[in-house]
Amino acid sequence: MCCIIEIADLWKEYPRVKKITDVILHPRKKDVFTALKGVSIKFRKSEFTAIVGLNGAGKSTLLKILSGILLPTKGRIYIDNLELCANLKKIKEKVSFISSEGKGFYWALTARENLNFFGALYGINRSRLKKRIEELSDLFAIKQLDNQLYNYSSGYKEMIFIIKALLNDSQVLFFDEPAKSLDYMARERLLGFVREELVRVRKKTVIVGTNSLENLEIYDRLVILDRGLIMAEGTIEELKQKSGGYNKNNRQIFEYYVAK
Amino acid sequence: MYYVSKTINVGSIRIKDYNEKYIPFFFIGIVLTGYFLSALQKFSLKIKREQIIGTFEAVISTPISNFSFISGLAIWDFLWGGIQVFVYFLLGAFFFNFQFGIVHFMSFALVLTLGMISFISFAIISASFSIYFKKTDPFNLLFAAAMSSLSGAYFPITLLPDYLQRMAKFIPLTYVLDASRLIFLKGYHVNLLKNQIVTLLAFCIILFPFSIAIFNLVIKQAMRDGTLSQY
Repeated sequence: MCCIIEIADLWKEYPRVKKITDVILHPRKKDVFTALKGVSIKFRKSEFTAIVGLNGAGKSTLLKILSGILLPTKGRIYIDNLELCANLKKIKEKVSFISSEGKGFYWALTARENLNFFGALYGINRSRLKKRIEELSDLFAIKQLDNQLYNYSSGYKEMIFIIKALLNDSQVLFFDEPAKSLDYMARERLLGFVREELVRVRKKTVIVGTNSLENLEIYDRLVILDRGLIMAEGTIEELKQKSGGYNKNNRQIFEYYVAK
Repeated sequence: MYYVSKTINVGSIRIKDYNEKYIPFFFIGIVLTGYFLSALQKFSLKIKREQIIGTFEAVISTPISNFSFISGLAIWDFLWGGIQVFVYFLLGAFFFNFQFGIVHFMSFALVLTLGMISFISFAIISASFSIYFKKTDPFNLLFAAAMSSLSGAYFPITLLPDYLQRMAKFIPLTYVLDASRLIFLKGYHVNLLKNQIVTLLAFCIILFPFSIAIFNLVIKQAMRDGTLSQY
């Protein structure tokens, strides 16, 4: 299986807000928070990968950099053989990002109006967009798209967020804490659907950032991220083996690698 | 309006350039100043709202260019306001005997379009400030103050001291107001407004690319700092 994403020595620093006294007394002093520290990793095509980490590990930062929302401080990133910083527009046509809790939607508009708007931003013409929305709403069994977005249940909203990400038929999908507001059964159903329909049937590459340790067996591969560093990567079986115990639960495996 | 009109000698040389009628002069000033300042303010609030609800970041994550995004965001308020201006001026034609033939309508449309592009440039610069500093920008206040007092909105700029008259020459609204008054009060058309139109065109050619360049720089910096959705 070839690699669709290659990351080499990725660093990301955020400037900290300086106090007025620091600005006056130490104008040249740089105060930064390093979210990613030399991350190097490859993601394979048509694979369902989870980046697992606690809050502040750098998952959202990594996903946003790969989506073209953030620029890296240092490092090289290739997505489908295109260098990220030099080909931002082309890469944005190939990837989609879904943020946690559906931020980035106009809640007072209907689901259809939101999808039409974002579809237009991807340059999809009206007739093709209409067909695409019909096709995807049939796939997700959503019959009614003409209610205002805030009127839908959490489960339906998650489906609509995924429909939006699929409008331009992106090759790579980044999910940042998907289905956070859903109960474990609904979350399992959603992730199962993503794996079977999007990854297995439609051959998409899906990368999920999550802090949930439930049901990690659903993913083809796991990447454990802690404080900006990759602590481990591999299938759940490989990680169990390396951590020295097949009878360990997911939490124990995670704590083993994070404690290293 | 009454007291301001009393301080301006209607028969004097100062208002003579506009057919010596203060009320129509003032009417044009207030409609156009109100239109431009209101559109500027609405745009500023729109950017703030987009940042707060997270749609700013969501739109930046699509392949749309910064130019298309910010122009599209700005154009609606200005276009909608422009339609309202035309309605006001139709009323002005009825009440104040404005010259409103097709030639005057087309000339005014040209002047208003050039004025709109200049103001959209200011709006983009103002939005860039708001995105970078995460605060309500002071530009809107500065523009509002400068334009109201210096551009001839309520009284001819010839009443101002020389140094303020020179400053007024750097405000696009001065030329929009001057051209609009000459069109509607004295029946001028494009051929007689070359000075005003060329100056407005120069403002557009200089300001618009500059504002887009500033916006692109600010977006790049916000992408480095991770502050696109912060306010």
